[in-house]
Amino acid sequence: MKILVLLTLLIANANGAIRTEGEFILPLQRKNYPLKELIKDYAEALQFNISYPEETLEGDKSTVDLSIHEKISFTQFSTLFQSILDSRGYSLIQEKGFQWIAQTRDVRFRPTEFYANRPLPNDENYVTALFRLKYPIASEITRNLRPFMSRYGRVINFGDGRSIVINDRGSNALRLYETIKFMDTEKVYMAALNKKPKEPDPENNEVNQKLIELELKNKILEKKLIEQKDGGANENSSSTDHNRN
Amino acid sequence: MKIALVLIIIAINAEATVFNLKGDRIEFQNSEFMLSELVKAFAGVNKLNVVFDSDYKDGQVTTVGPKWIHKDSLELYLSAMLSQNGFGMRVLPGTNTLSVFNGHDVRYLLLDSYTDVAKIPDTYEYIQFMYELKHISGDELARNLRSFMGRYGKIIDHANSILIVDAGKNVKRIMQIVQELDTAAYLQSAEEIKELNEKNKKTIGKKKGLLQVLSDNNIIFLLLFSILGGMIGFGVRGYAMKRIEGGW
Repeated sequence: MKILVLLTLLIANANGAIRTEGEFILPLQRKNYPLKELIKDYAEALQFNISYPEETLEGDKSTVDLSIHEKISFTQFSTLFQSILDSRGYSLIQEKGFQWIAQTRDVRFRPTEFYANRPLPNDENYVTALFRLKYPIASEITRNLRPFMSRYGRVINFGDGRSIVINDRGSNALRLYETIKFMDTEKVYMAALNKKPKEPDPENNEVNQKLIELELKNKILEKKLIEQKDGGANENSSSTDHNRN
Repeated sequence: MKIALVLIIIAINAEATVFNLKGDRIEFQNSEFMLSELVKAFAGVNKLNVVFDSDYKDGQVTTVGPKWIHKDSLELYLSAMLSQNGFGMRVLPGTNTLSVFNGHDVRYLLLDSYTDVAKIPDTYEYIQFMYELKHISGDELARNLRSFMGRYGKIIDHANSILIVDAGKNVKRIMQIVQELDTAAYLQSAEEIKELNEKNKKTIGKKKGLLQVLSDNNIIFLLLFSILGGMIGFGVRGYAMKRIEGGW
């Protein structure tokens, strides 16, 4: 009986924990895996101290369906874990000797690691990266990059026309860097120089006149509709009065 | 009985500490503890008194995995947890007291001041940092860097200097950006952009015809009105004079 209980406990623990073999995570299948449990098991498997204020994950009852079919390295599992957190609006912040979890929406207030003239990490950690351009077209490039930023990412250009600072996930910053390199060419620079500024439309052009006419017509129609409604209402009330009389 | 009592007292006291210092390690007693208890334990280790702001709101911290950190990381750990809850900490000048304050009051406080980047503490404690720019102007820089400030951080430009109030770690990041930008090459590039913009303004300048200028200022209308008015006026005058003189 005791052996049976012990075996049951061992099996239960084995099902709850992430099993490791050296520096690899063994295959596992988890359905409806609570996020808090995943964080705890991840920390224990990879031997990281992870802390978080209770209100960061307060009320979070989200679960994860996780299937790992073959063993993966700790690095790969870390990337996967960070992606899971990111998809639920959390970030894993790495400090000296410990890690902590924060809401991703607060990333703009947090001091992320700075990169300039060195390779960017291809992961989900937020970074601050400074890019220098060959040609002074930073404002054009920044404008074009905005649709490609992640939800809480930021891109800013400076007055010299050659400096762009991006605050975004490492993987996205790398992708943006490739886009910047593609756009930072002499062809684009010459096109920006030669671009004729759009002249303001004169007030009396045909399109504007037509617009004004349409607006007038709409106003007249609206007025007629209001008058009809009021007229109908007045008729109804007068007929009711007549009936009463 | 006495031994049991002593053991109970020791047990109570042991439970009251959030962590134990064992060599180089800070070992947490439990997975969950209150932030205020962590602050008091930190103050105990550093032989400091503690005072909490009147609007301090306590929170629980959960720690998972190996329940220890290196003792050198304790200050960073505590400042990180406090900053997540919207609070900061500082040692009150002239006293041996650790004060925990609300982050939005940081602008009213006397903070430790630095001018050397290397000496900025690598924690989330608020500090004040002043830097004299060598090449670029402070106003444009301050405007662009505002996006990188912490929740209660501030950046002000004055003459050719910038003053930053923010968490130490964030000040370090801002200064890394500033030091990359504050170069002669930046200034040169900015001058180049200015020249290009001036050149473009001249080509953009729309040449208006005389008629367009006149009609924009309603001068044609005024001229016509004046002429018409003059004609009517003289016409009436002429008619009146003729009538008076008896010509008609």
